[in-house]
Amino acid sequence: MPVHPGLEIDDLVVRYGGVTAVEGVTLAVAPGEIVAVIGPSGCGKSSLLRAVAGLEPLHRGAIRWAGADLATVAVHQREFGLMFQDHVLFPHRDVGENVAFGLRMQRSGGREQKVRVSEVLALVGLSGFERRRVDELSGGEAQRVALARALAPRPRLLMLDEPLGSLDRSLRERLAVDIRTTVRELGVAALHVTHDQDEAFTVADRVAVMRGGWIERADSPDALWRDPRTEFVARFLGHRDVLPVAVATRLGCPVGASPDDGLVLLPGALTVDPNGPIVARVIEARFGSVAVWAELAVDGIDAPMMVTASHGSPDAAAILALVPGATTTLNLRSELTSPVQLEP
Amino acid sequence: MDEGRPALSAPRASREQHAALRGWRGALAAALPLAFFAVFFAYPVGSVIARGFDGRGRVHPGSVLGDSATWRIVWFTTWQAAVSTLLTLAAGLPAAWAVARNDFRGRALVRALVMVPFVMPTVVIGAALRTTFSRLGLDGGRVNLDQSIWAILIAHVIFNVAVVVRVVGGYWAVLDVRLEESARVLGATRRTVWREVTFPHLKPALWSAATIVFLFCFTSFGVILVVGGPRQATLETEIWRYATQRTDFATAAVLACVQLALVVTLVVASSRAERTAVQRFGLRQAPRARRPRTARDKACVAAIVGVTLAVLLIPLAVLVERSLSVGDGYGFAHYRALTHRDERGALFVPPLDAVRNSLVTAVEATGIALVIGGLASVAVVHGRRLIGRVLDAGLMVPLGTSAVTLGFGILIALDEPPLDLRTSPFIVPIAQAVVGVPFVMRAVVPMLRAVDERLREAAAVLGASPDRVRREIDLPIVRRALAAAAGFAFAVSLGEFGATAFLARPDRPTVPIAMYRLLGQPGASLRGQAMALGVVLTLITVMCVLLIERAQRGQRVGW
Repeated sequence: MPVHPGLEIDDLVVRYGGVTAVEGVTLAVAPGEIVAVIGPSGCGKSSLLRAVAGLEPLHRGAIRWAGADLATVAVHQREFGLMFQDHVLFPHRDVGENVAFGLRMQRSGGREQKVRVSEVLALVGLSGFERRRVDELSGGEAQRVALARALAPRPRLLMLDEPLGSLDRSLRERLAVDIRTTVRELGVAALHVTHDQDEAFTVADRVAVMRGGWIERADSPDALWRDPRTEFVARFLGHRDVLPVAVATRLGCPVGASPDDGLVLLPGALTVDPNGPIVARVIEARFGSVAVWAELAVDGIDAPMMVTASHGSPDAAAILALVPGATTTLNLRSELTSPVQLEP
Repeated sequence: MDEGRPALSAPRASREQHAALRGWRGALAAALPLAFFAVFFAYPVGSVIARGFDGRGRVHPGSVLGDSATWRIVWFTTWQAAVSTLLTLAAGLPAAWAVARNDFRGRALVRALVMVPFVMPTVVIGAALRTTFSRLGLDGGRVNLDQSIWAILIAHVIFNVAVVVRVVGGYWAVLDVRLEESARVLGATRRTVWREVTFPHLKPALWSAATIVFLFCFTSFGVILVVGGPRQATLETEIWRYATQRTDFATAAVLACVQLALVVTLVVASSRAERTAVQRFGLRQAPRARRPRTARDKACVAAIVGVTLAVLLIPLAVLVERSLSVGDGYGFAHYRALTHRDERGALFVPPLDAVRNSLVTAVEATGIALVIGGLASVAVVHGRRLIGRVLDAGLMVPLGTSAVTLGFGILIALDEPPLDLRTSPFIVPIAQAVVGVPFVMRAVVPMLRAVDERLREAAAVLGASPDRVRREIDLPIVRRALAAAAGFAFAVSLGEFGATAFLARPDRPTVPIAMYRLLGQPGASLRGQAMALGVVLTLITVMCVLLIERAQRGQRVGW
């Protein structure tokens, strides 16, 4: 069997006392690949990251880099980079000293350090920030410095633990793109932990969805989005409408899956259509920042159904024209549905 | 799991500490303080206990315990400490509020000035207070405070107000103002806010301040000896009198045992009560102190600060005035006299030698206390848990043990080979270091604990070995605390009287010893010299406090 060139997590179990945080996770990250681990809080994703960093003892399983087991390699010898949620910059050192810290640990020369520090600061868009005190930085700047600090010693693997969690939304979106660009340019393997699926989709080549200590599904963002396969993954990714197959069939959506399973309706699957077969009562129609949407009640389905359309599209006009309390008809486009396994 | 900080929410106990001390280094960090504690504290104090009950003394321990005079002393010691504590809390709380919650010009100076009496030698405070009484005409005629219980209470309040201001004020300053504000918005009166919000939060700090003050007053020595005179007898002064003046070691030892038992009982009971009182939520929001806005607030702050400083500083002012008063005028005669040895034999050396002795001893004691206390702090925070607990509790005990018992114990225990230290020049610094170590630990341990574990993790991931983590992360952050600790140890050593009174050789007195001897002799010029010595020591101490203040600036909690 060929040796995997990057990170391999093999049947990993992490326990705190009697509580199992990570329960048999197997995952690989190749050099140059960005893998995001997402999941609700408490799913064990941070513990997974800490175990890879060497900050948590393993209960079982193995963590390997390029085929070599890291069990006996201490945290500080792993040559991994870790970026924490709220940056954890050293308060007693300025920006330059923070970024240079890993280089000093590698005993690189003073000149070399200086060059590298200004190089990575430029990379994160903070040229000339060397002498700034860390408590003078804004939230976004502090996160950039933390990224620069993690990147400076040229880690084999970059780990990001909720790196944008504490920032506001617009900054988060911008920095997520920046992180992807930066990491791509360096071609380093990266493991990114977040609870935000948008952030994961923006940053990662592959996304692993964690639940209760194990990985429910790992795939490319596109594949995950279009084919979540389980109700849990579908709902975690933000798909609201998951129907039992029997109900879907009644609505006129023929599916080949077994009647025990369900069907997820992707955004756009439902449209307002005067000739549609589904009769629905309008609850409300709203104007959102990304799309317009309406909630409708359909007979035989408990939860309200969602119809969305992007701004400016003909569907959007139809949605905004809906009057609460009125009755309308909907069409279901079966190409925008996907079979999923329902939660018991 | 907490959404905000997932990485922190793992159960604390199971997390690996990245400055964890294991192996021979850990053993050394724990072993040195343990050995120090065993030889210079446990063994001497144990010897005192053994001496009390070994049946070799002239007096049977049972007869001491059965004597009603013994219990009168116990009762007096207890109630004067209790009343002193209550008065100190009453005097200290307003000052704690004024300094912790209000920002005004000179606040840093006020904080420093409040600290001055606490670190000042008790003998100096006592002398200053007695002089003040006589200067204000309160030592005779209709009002006679001199050598009265009132004098003792006042002295204890002056001495200990700083504890309340620091401990309670430290908590108060980090108590989130918004808690009180939201209660006010919800319709609570000021009084309700105090009862429902502020007081419950301050309770642990009040407990711990009250415990400390009570212990200090319970084992107070210099103050009682100088201010109370021979008429006021507490356990501490009686241990000293029996041991040194009547050379009745057996009675002294029995009294020391009684005192030790009471102190241990108190400490155990209080730490249990403190644990149930602890409410940590709502702290650490580090709100800014605000300038008083309403006229009422301004007047309050001004009045509190004014009265507090007046009470604390008037005795010092009188001390300075008396030291300069020669005959009917003023001059520096008393200071000049410090360089000469007095023929009448109050001291075997010129008084100024005492200053040199004090400084040298204090430097040595500080060095020892820093090494032992620093190592012990690291062992407490990063070492194996059991050893940490033993050290934490063990090295705090000297704080509650009487210095007199300690000095007495060292005197009778370390007097034969292989540990015959009676003539060693290091015996006084070592005894003072035993007293100073708890202060070092009190300053360093909380800072070490407060270092965010994730900073260590971040350093470790960046390639820093555990040793490197300690050097790069812990040390720079704790350095300020160490500086403050050094200041405290130094001040404690300068003022230490109880243990030193037993151990200092007659030809090497420290300043408090020299002052006590000078005050015990008749003659205005010797009194004046004592005052001058007190002023010199006060100046050195004040400089010490200013350094502590500088070192502590920017720290969140600490005293």
